Amino acid sequence: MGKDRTQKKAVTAKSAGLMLCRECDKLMQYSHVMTKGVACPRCGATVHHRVPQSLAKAWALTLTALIFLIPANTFPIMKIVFMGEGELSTIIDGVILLVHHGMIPIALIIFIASIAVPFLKITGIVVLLLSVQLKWRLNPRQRTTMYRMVEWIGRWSMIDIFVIAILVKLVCMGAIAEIQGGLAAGFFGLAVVFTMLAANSFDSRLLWDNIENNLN
Amino acid sequence: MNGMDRNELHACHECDLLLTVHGVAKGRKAVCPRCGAVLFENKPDTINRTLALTIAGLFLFWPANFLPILSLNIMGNTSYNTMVGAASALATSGQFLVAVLVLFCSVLAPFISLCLLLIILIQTKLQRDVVSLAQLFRFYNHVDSWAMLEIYIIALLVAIIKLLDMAEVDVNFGMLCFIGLLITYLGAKVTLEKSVVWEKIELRKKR
Repeated sequence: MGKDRTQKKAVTAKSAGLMLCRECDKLMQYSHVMTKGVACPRCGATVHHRVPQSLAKAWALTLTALIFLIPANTFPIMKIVFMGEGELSTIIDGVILLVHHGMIPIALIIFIASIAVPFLKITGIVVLLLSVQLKWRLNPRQRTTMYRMVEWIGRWSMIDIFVIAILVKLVCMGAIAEIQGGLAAGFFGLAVVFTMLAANSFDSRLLWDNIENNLN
Repeated sequence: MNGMDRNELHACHECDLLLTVHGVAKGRKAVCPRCGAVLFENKPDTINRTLALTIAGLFLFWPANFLPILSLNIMGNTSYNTMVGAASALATSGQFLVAVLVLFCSVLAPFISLCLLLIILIQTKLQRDVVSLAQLFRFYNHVDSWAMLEIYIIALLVAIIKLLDMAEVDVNFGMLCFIGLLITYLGAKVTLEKSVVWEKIELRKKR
């Protein structure tokens, strides 16, 4: 059903010799002579009919994020001092501790936001990138939905960083109780930023170009 | 009146489909038939409503950021948490990168967004010619995507629950202001129809 709609020969801005400004949605003429892009008459942004080097940029940013995720998950994310005893804790330690205390819903939130989402998000971007690069014949509408989810959910990984900031500020009673941020926090923050940048640099219109090229 | 009931060529920003849109009634939206992206929505009185929420948000910004949100009591020692304080505590414990990230996403980005919205919306109402309006609005769109107040509130709830079994946690007046800021901030985003602002900017350039 959905397939019929997508497989009908659709007129895109690109095929009609037009291009859309990604910043302000202004539709304008596209000339094949220009390769460097033109300034949008409305907002001044540089406009191309597709984001140049979108795939290469997205790959680079995704792999960077993946590399940062390794120290983010192995190094301690915080140090908890309670009654003079210090204890280092990684992301997964925090989740296990919450489970032991019987706080399953919170453990689930932290697990999803800090461990599952970053990895699922990277997997999602990689699948999208591969599907465009290898011209997989997958439903573009489903892939667009996947892209929107990847784009939306990425920021929620910041939860853990914010929780650490709040805990560090609140629990600062010296030897009685103190919480300090660990090395992993910086790596984790960078991983979140890079996955957000990766999702942003991916041009979702490529998912649909693929289909049109296949049919021609 | 609302600048949206004209038959005009549009392209979907998510799948590049070219289409003509025949007028969108108040409160309704135009959706791309191919990928389902919302092309635009005819939001009633978008500029006035967004401006009102922006001003309210700016008023709430100061108490929300500088008044204590949570306080913790461990054996007679009390400590407070403020939005700005949380970021600075990270900086003093040597976590500069994380401190900058937290400060930007929870304090600076919302504040810059609100200020930009105020300037942009007032200028579109005053019909004054300002060259940089397009640049300001582009800047707003970029900064706004890094504002994470809605995530911060969930982080506050998680922090409360984590601390509950170890000490006494109290919710302070700042929390109320923060919730108010969150509601007005998200409300301003909901009532703002960007295409209306872009059209006004374009009209002004043509004159």
